[in-house]
Amino acid sequence: MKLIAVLRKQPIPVEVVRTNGEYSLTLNGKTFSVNAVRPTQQSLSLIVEGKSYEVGIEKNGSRYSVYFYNDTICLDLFEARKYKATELAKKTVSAGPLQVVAPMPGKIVKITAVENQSVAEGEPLLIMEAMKMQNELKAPRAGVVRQLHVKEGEPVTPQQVLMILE
Amino acid sequence: MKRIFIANRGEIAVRILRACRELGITAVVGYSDPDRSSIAVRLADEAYRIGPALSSESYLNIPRIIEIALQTKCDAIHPGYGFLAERAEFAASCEKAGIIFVGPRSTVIELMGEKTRARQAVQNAGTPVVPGTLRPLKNLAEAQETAKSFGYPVLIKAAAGGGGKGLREVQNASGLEEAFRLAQSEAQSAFGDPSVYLEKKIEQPHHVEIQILADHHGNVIHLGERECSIQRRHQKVIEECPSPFISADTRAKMCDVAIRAAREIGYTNAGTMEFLVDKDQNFYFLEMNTRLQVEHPVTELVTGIDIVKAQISIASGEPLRLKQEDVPFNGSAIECRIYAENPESNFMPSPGKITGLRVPGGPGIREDSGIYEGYEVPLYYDPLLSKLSAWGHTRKEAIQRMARALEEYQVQGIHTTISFYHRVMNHPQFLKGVYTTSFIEEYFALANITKPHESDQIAIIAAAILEFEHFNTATETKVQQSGTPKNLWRTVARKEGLRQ
Repeated sequence: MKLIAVLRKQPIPVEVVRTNGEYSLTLNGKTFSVNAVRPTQQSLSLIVEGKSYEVGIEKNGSRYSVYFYNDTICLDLFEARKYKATELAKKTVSAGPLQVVAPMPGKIVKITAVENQSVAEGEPLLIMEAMKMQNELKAPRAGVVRQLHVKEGEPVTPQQVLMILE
Repeated sequence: MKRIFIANRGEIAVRILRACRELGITAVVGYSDPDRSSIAVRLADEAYRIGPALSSESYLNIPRIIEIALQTKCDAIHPGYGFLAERAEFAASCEKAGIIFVGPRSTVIELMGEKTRARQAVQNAGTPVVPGTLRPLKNLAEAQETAKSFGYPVLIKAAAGGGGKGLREVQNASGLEEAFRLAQSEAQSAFGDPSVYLEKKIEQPHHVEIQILADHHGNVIHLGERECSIQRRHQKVIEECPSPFISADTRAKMCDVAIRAAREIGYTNAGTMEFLVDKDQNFYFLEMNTRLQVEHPVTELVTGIDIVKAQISIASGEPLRLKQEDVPFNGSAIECRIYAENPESNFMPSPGKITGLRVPGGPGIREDSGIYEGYEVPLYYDPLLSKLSAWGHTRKEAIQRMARALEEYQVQGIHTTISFYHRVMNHPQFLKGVYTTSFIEEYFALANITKPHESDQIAIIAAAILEFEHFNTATETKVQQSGTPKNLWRTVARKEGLRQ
């Protein structure tokens, strides 16, 4: 099976073959033989060429979160033949307006951006409070603030659209 | 004492509950709505709802807590730390209602809670304090004059405060006016009191504190020190006992001073004197925490003394069981506070559901936790999930055990500070034992916190295998028109020898 892994915006082709319960994976021009068991619903134990790894793993649509004690790696996996179409669709989206969403549940403390303001990437847009701490939410990319969907003092849920950047 | 009401939540409610269990005391837990499914409530002997999520209507609601404690015929209330633990008004309400407050008398809490009065009181007992104003500043002119006489840099602090709120650092005269104004406004909003005072900033300070126990019969002992210099946002994140920095001579002097100060103010129960120690081992009183400390487990590991049980025994009026010379000090211990925060995103809070959990164990490891797999970390409260502590015969062994336990500790679904602590355990400066309160800023500047991702390849392999199995199962299911999505993996496991 041919897949495309997208990790930090980089597409990486991966091929998976299974024979007699053992896996053979080819990525970055190298082939690995892998033995895998799933001790719990949320974890995967791998033996990759003698080295044992246990990772926490979760799937949400195409998005995989893989947990290591010292890192959490998020990547997307697509069937190689479907990837091109997805990529095209994405490009069209990223050129258009961008929704700025709440990264966590909390309360809007202060909105520093105003409508029609041009902001640079990394410029603070608003301040959110969660777990007794205040955090700045910054512009993910440069643009013009077009619509504000929240007011100061308003509680928000994760992924709620806060404003539109054009 | 037969019944104790626990007026707190999270890991500390569990800690107190465990002490009650061991003593054969009925543990009565008060909870807010989102904490109904917390471990503390699940383990409690009895549990009663205090109120809704908002702290002011639950864990800070004095009349309601007193009412429940009276109705449920509790002899005592243990406040834990945070919330009402250092509210003199709460201790006074307990005293008035005839309930034992597990802590010092309300008048002592009040005295130590007002930072300027506290400084005066301990100074009377011969405790060195950081040069500063002993009363709140009247105005900007006074602040300017005082700052000039101490020499910059200086700190402006809230008189009613603590925990880093209302605290401003001023490097030179030009920054004083703004800092004075901001500190006043922060103090007003955080503590309802705009009073601020000024202190000389001790450069490159170590934060070292002395744990004391004092009974109602005039006995006061110390349980040694804790080094708490590793902080972010002026809050401790890693603590150890003993301090790798202070000399035996400094330790003896600090412990002596702490005991004398505790006697001077008539302190009872467990308490902690916090000091700043400069590079020349000069030490200065910072403040007193009139309660159980978050980091008490490191002292317990080194001395073998259960501080929470000691608190309960003192509150019951019993004399201290140990004399100073009988307090054992064995080996070395470290604690890491596991927070629901993303260390790679400026320690941004990360509430949410814990979808997977693997807890460390083995020799020398202790975990004080308030979480479980499936637990939803509420966004209303402090993001502390658990405290991981390690003990070793030597500091080196304690660090090795901590590093090993952090590798075993896996929390899925939310971000935690585990990976960051693992990097600290391997940092040469930490291993040397020479670090100050600016350790994190100095060695883990934001750019630095983002580390290379060594596990990318394994992550892709793991995900690709799962995707492969998922795809095959989905296809097979389609063909067979059977199986529910929930059971897909079970089916695959059977077919492919993947065991669950």
